[in-house]
Amino acid sequence: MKKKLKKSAPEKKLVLRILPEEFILTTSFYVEQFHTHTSAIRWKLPKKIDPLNINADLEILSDNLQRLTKQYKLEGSQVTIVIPNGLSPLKVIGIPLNLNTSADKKEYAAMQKQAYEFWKEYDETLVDIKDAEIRANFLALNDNDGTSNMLYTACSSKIIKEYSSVILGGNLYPVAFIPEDQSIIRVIESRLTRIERERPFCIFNLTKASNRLIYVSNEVIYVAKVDISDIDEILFDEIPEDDEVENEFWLELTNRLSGNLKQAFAFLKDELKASKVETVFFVSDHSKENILFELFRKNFRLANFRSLSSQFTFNMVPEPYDDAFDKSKDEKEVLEDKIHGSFMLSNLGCYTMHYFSTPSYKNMVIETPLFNLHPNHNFIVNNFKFYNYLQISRKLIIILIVLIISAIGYMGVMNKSDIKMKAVTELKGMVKELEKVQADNAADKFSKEQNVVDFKRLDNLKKGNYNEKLFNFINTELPADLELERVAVRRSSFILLGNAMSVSEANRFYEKLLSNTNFKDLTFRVFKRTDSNLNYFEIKGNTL
Amino acid sequence: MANKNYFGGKKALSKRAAELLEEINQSKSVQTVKETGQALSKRAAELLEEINQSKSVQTVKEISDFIGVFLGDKKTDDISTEIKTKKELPDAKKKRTSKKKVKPPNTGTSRFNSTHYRNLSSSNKLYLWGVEILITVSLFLFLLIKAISQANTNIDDQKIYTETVSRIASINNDIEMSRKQAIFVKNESTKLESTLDALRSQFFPTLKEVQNYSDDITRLFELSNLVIVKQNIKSSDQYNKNIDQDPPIYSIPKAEESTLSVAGATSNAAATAATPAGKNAPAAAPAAAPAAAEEKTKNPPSPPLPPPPPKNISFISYDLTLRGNYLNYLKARNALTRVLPSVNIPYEDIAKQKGKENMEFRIIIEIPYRFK
Repeated sequence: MKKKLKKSAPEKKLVLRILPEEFILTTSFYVEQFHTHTSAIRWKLPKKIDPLNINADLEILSDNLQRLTKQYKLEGSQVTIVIPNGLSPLKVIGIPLNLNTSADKKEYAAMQKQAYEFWKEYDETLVDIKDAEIRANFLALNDNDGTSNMLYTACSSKIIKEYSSVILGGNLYPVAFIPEDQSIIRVIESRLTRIERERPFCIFNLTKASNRLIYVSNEVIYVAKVDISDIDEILFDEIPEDDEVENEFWLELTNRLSGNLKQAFAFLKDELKASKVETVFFVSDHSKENILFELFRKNFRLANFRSLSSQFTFNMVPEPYDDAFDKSKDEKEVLEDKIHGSFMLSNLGCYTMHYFSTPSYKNMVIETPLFNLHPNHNFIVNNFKFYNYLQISRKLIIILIVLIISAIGYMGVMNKSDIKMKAVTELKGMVKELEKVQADNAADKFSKEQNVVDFKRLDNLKKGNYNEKLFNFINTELPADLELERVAVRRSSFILLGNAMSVSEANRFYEKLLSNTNFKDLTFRVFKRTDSNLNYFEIKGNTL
Repeated sequence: MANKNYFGGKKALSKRAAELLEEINQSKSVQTVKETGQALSKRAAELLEEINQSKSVQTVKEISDFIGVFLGDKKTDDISTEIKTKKELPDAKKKRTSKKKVKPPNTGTSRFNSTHYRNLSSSNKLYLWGVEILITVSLFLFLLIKAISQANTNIDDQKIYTETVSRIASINNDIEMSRKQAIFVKNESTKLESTLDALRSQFFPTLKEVQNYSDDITRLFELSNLVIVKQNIKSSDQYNKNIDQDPPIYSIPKAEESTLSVAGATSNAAATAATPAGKNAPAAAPAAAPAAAEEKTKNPPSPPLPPPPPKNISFISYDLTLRGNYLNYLKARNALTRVLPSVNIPYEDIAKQKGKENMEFRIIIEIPYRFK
């Protein structure tokens, strides 16, 4: 409820109030701290009707509403209807339950399943009607007797049906029926300062056939009828705008009207024991609201008498597609149509309220959510509210799904899986082929290397190997004083055994062997034989 | 609203007509009726005709036409209650299109549908819509995930495909290079093979030819006055590397004893005294027995095994024990190596016979031959 105002767009919502001679339809509401802007349509009815009994004029109302909606291109819009105070009076009723306790809360909730039967005991007006739409909200606990004060309103189901019929006949969707008084209280309270909001205040609603004084405190609301005669009401339209009002006739009327107001004020104070009220706010749907305000203010001294009409600016919505409507005229007419007044306050309370102060304690009357008297109030507003979102969501999701399916289809068409598989298979084949080629290549290389080795071996083999160097050496270098007993050759290894006349001779032979580069690993041993004077020697070695 | 003013002169009309005229005025002129196609009731149509034909209206029309002509503004025609076609109002239409249109107060409206209202006021739809939204959102998410996975798969496939194609190209290159190399290697190998074949056929005889040599070899030694004591010819496809299977036993003479001889020398002397069969070996020298055994077989150590023969080459080996003069042996040997330069003589043992002039020769001659 206590939303701080942000610089935002006006709240667009249709709120309809049926007056005896016209429809008042507000289409948007924009709030600033000391000012509000409202777009509105006033549609004059061809004949005077009774808003408290529209049954007789259903056709005229439907027909005119249909024309209005058609002309302003409003067909199919959701609309909130302000139910006149006479049809759904706002009251405070005490019930013998302590709604601060959960047990009583449960009991109360259970009894609300048959609300009509329950409330019939506390609201005597329900006896006259067969069925009613009843709304109530806990305000405060009465400490004296333990009862709970409930803010309460009820409206005959038949009336709601009649209003629904008119609205549907006008090609609009009725989604909410709001009691007039609750709407007025909310919008007036929202314009007050913090101090004013914390104190009780009164609203004097001067409207045709339903003049009343509404007392609002933190926990209670009283409505006192201001009894103004029909003749005096007729005279409201005839009140002159200049100084002629100062004559005896009008002074007498003024005194009479002020007396009526004082009487109602006294009733509130004396009979209903309402606490002291500092300010009475004047609200009226009469065309000469300002003159009437001045007249009342002159003679009413029991409290401050104020009008908030200067805070409410109304722009009349121009008729769309009007051929006679050019730009220059548009601006002019807008200026001309910009008017101040409180005649549409009943409608404005149905919009979201914005507050510019925070009171120290809660006003339970104001905190009470708007009573929607629509039979399906639990869900119809949300159904309509979310239907648009649903439609948008559906479209969006369908578009997205179509896009995604298209994308999937496109990706399916552009799918590289098969080509990839083919490529991978081809790659595997190629790898195998490469391996095979490389294996063949390696085998060829090995074969070539083998052939090279074979070539070398064959080259060596063709030369033969018969220790020619050793035998050449022995044949040429063996001294005369040496004889060989044995020559043993095992491939490249050899051993020479023999006898020498002297060891030195054997040594010389050994030295010759050593100096020959064709031999290696040479070992030499010599010893004196026992069986002769010769020296036995032994030379081991390898041929290169 | 101008027509309202013009129709203000309705005194000439009947009371009922005046009421209906008011109604018509409320209905935003006949022009609106024409545009919206809304048909008037039969009675209203009759009265409209009456209004059109009434003198006052005719006068009003004339005046308005005159004003229109005078002001040059055709829009005054709009006040006429006669239904005119759009073709008759081209200027007005042009102006209408050129003017800034005033938007309706609530643009978020749709066509009225009573079924729609009945539907939305029958029950709380939020749960149903919630389920519907949940299903559609789930479907959407499912499709989105599928699309994302498909996209990822496609990207991966594309990536793999690109990589695979590039790898295929590189492997193709590798295969080509390998094939070229293989061809080159094969050619070289073939060349080498043919060279080897040529070499084999040029320098190495076949087995059959080699077998024919045996007669020549034995004759060579016999003609050189060498007595062939023993002959063993071995030919097999597998080359026998071990040539020292039955080494000869050779006795070494005794060395003179010395007082300074070490144990090794004593044992050496003892070993030299041993006979090939070991019959004369002193019984009191058991420690020197291994050394004596070593000394008895004074042969060169076994050489490392030679590498296997080249492909398609094997050897026929002649194991000959000869007896005769050394010079004759040399002569025969030289003749053999000259005639068969590829001959191998891996084993030669030449020993002098005790007390005799002749010498004994044990030789193994290996002659390589080719298989084909």
